[in-house]
Amino acid sequence: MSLAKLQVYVTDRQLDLPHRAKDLFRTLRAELIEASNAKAIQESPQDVFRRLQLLAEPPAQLLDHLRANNLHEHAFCILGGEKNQARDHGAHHFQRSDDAWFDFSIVVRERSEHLDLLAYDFELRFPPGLGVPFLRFDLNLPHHANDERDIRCHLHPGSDDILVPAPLMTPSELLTLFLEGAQLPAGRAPRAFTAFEAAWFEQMYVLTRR
Amino acid sequence: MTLGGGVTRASVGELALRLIAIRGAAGYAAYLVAAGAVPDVIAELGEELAAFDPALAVEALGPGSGELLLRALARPTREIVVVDAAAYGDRDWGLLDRRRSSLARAGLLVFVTTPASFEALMQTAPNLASWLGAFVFEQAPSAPNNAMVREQRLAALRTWAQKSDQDVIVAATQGVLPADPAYAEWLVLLGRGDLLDNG
Repeated sequence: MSLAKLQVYVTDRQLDLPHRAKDLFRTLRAELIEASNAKAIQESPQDVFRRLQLLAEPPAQLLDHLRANNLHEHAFCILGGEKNQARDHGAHHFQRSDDAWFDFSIVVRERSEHLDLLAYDFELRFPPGLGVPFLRFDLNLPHHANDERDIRCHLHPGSDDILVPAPLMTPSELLTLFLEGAQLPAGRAPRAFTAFEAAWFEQMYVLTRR
Repeated sequence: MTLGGGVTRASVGELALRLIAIRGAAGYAAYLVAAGAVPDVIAELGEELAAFDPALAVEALGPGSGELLLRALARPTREIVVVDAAAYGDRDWGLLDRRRSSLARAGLLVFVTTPASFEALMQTAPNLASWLGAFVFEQAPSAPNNAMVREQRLAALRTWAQKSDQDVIVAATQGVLPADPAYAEWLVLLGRGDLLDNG
């Protein structure tokens, strides 16, 4: 049974985005600073300024014919924290008050009348004891040859190999989820592991020690 | 970062953040920018303030002299008033200093001007200089480390994927580039956003 219809469902959503990459960047920055002021993240507003970056395509590298014909609509990266595929806690990131930490990257393209959200990855990593090591929400590039098999918009629930459908979200929604969601209610301790989970983690330990 | 003479370097965004932090009370600030950049900086400052609070009322004034500024401030103005003071010289600042009580208002008054004009203020408007106090900023680039950040990101991507930039461009050109978001970022950082639709 194909998941193609499901893929359409999770990505067929009209997103409310600003018109310019700079405005999206400023919105995310304001949200992070508000979180800083509320002590929801441990970074200061100055840290937010340093760790959130807006990078435009380097114009000098545009192909001559594209630049000459003005056929190129500029793409931008909005980067929150350092690139961190190895999940090194020493790399710059944002850290919540509960010590969960995250970084993200977003790729958009400015059109004449709107902003295209082309790709994103938002990864939230948890301290030990909260069930999964990380959650990563990915939006892959569109029109990929394997669209029928892969799901463009998906969640990795603590595994780079396993992915499940996830709704298309705006960067603000994802940031809100990371700042305010995916955490224990105040005052509540983590549930005790079931025997299944305990055995699973024990087996994982054995496997990783080989 | 604070430079000599009590002038702090700040990007337009950082200045906006500082103004937001002190709003609600009367206050004065000066922002020193390169000659010719003042109108663009004022426009950008308006956008930055709106990003922090869309409801914030900001007014940009461009009266060509201190006298005209005093007349403009005599009518009701918004919470934050940003003044293009690039053309102000000794005479203008001296006048504003003598009639500084007419500058007094409930909100924030921000002078955006050039270092040369600010030097004139310091020479001829000691009382106004005192009002400004520590709220004198010099424009710093909004993204001083973009080139470094770009190269760091590219280096991290190359290490992660064990591919070269050329490998990625060739794969994208042939329509076989993996769809992972990291490759989208890679193409943009290389200035090849034209290949983003080549899936």
